[in-house]
Amino acid sequence: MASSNRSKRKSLAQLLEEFKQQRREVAVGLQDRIAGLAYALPETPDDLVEEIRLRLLRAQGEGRITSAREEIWGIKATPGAYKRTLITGGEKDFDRDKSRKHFAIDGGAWFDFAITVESTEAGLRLYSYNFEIRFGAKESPAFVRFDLNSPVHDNATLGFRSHLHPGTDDWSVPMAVLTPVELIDLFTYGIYERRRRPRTKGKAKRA
Amino acid sequence: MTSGLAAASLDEFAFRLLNWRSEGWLVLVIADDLKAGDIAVKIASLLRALGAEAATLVTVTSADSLIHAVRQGQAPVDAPMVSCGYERFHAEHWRQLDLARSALATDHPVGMVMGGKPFGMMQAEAPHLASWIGAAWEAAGVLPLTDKERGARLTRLRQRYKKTDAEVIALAKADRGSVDPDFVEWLILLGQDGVLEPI
Amino acid sequence: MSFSEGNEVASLGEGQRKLPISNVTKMPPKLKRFREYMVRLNATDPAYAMEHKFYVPAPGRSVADRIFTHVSLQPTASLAVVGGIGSGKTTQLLVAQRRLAKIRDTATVYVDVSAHQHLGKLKPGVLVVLAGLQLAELLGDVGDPGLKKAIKALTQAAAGYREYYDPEDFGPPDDDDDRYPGVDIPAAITPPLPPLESTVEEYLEHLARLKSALTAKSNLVVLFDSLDRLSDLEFFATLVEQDVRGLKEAGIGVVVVGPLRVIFGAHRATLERFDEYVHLPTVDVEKSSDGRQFLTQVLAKRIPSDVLEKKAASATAAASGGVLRDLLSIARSAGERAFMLSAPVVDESHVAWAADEFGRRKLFGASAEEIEILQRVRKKGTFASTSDKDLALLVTGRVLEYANGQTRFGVHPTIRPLLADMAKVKLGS
Repeated sequence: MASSNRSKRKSLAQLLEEFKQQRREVAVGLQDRIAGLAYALPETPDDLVEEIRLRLLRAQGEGRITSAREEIWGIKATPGAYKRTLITGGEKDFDRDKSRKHFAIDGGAWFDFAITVESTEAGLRLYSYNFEIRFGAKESPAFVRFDLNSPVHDNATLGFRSHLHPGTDDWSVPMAVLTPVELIDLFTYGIYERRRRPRTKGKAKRA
Repeated sequence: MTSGLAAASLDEFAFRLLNWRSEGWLVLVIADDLKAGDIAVKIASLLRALGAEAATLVTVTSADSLIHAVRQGQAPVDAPMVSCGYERFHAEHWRQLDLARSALATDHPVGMVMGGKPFGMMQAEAPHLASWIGAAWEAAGVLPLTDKERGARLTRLRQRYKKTDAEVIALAKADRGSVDPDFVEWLILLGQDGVLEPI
Repeated sequence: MSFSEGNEVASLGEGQRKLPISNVTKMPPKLKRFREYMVRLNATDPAYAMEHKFYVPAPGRSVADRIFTHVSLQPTASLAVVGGIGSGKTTQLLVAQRRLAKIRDTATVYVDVSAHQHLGKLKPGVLVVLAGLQLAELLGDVGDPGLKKAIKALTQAAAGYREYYDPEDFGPPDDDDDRYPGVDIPAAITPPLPPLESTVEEYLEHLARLKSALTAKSNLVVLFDSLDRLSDLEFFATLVEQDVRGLKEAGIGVVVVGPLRVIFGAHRATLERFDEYVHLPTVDVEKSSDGRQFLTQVLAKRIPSDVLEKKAASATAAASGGVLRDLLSIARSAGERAFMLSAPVVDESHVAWAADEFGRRKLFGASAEEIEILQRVRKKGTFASTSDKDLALLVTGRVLEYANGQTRFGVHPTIRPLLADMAKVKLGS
């Protein structure tokens, strides 16, 4: 009797593997749900750059973006393989150093971005991107970065293809895929408005 | 750049046209395989997207039709105008426009969309008109990163991740590496993103 | 220095009156200021420039000076003014007009022919009619029936009219001479100049009637602008033979801006029909420090140095090659470039960009043969004033003529580097 029970019991390794698989399925399911929503992009990479520039020009005209128009005209589209295009705005800035070219938002924040799109039969698709908005080392959070990894990245299997880093490079949370214009609107309107009128003033009160 | 003129993307041209408040019209020279009418429509819609309350689109057939459109058009006085149709102009049309140059003075900015051939004819047959033109650009798509810009981005990527280009390519090929956005960019900048599967 | 928002005032110093500052004390990206910058650099409205006191007298004896001197000494003389596109002819005419207006016994009228008349449809008599209409305006309301008739006739001539005749007035000939065939014997004497056309004579009669009504002024001088755009030099010669001659014979002073090409080749004879001609050369920005200073002053008068940096103004002067319209055009382009980039001032980098854009535009469409001529002019300064191809390059402003004591030719500075690059590429291949 004891030996048949032993054969039915799963090993700890098997249990752990099953648990991992379940976690993976939940994560991927979550990712598919929030990041699998359809999004609309223009037809070509040049059209996308135009759309981004128009949005930035509008934000600049309203005083929300305070940096020079030179940065807006400086958005570039560099071709890659498989009809991919790398669209860059601002300079690569890992030091989060304001001396690099960037888009400055009224109030002190700034951002830059790099997007890779792919022209497919189904239209222009987002292959990967990172959009990082920075608030300064003394702020909390100091930055927020929206990442979309490539489709075959490990993170994709863990449900983290599209994620957000809330002021830390060490961990992230799942996030919906946003279009470049949605992200720019978020930086220049959404977050901008929230930072101007914070919900909490002074110390938080406890019940 | 095929024509030798300075390059401008369509949205740059539209932005310049919208903000041009000086004498002289602005010319956009397009490649031979493009249709001036299509580009003119695009620019008119970009003008509206940039905040122009109205943007007039005019297709001309002769010098007289252009003068008529400018002097007696129904458009608001300060609405930018985009004109096309210059492919139909013969040398005599340009000479007539040259003589009637004073009639082309407008309070609103005017863009002329045309191919290289009509623009060359304007230069040769209408020197007074040509000297009065505010600026001329060749229509170009969005520019890629220059070699210098490309180099600067690669340098920062290498410093950040402490990897060489060869290592990144090898990792991507083995499909073991982290192909997060920075690495996709890295491979594109090296011209090696062919190792990544398409969507 | 802090920048104003247009409503602030600037203090001039202790005890001095505070004055409102001009809107142009700050460069773009402020849209309003950018637009004013652009408007102040408009070139084709010299009247605007003069009204806003932007005019800077050219070094040495200007064309306006020469017109004034010649006309004030000989009010019934005829004078031709020729110069390249954008050399400032209209401004000189307007300056001359203002000076001549101060002469008590002389009435001066400025006529921009292109504003009234399609230059492609000119006919002999047009200048006489235009002069008459301008004179009618000067006279205002006239009571005299003879004057009214003259004005009506000229107005009808300008608009065109239908003349009716009674066929019975043209009945069968009753003169015996017409019954017999005859032979025409040619005149032994042919006058050197063709007779004035009957319509021109008729218009001149009406004009003379109006002129006689200028009681306070015994002299009338008419300044005709825009005829430099005529490419048909034969027709220009006809206008000179008919209208200018007719006006002169009627005792009316005439100043005409004519096409540049008339200086060269066979059509030079047309200029000989004037009592004098004045050539407005390009300002020699390379060999004359006065010329360079003049051009930078033209810019400084319109735009303060905290908007257009001094070095940028000098660079613009150099890039213009001495052509006033090109000076303003390049400065405008540089300002537009600065605005595009949201730069606070217009600096040399913007001017360099604008000069490059200008040069590319200027050279566009030049044929291989024209490029060869331009290279020759660039390297050796050799220009064949009898060649149609060379003259076309002069008319289009790709080749510039300087007359700073000695005539020399050069390519426009903005196309020089492009030509040099082309020559290098050619050598390399």
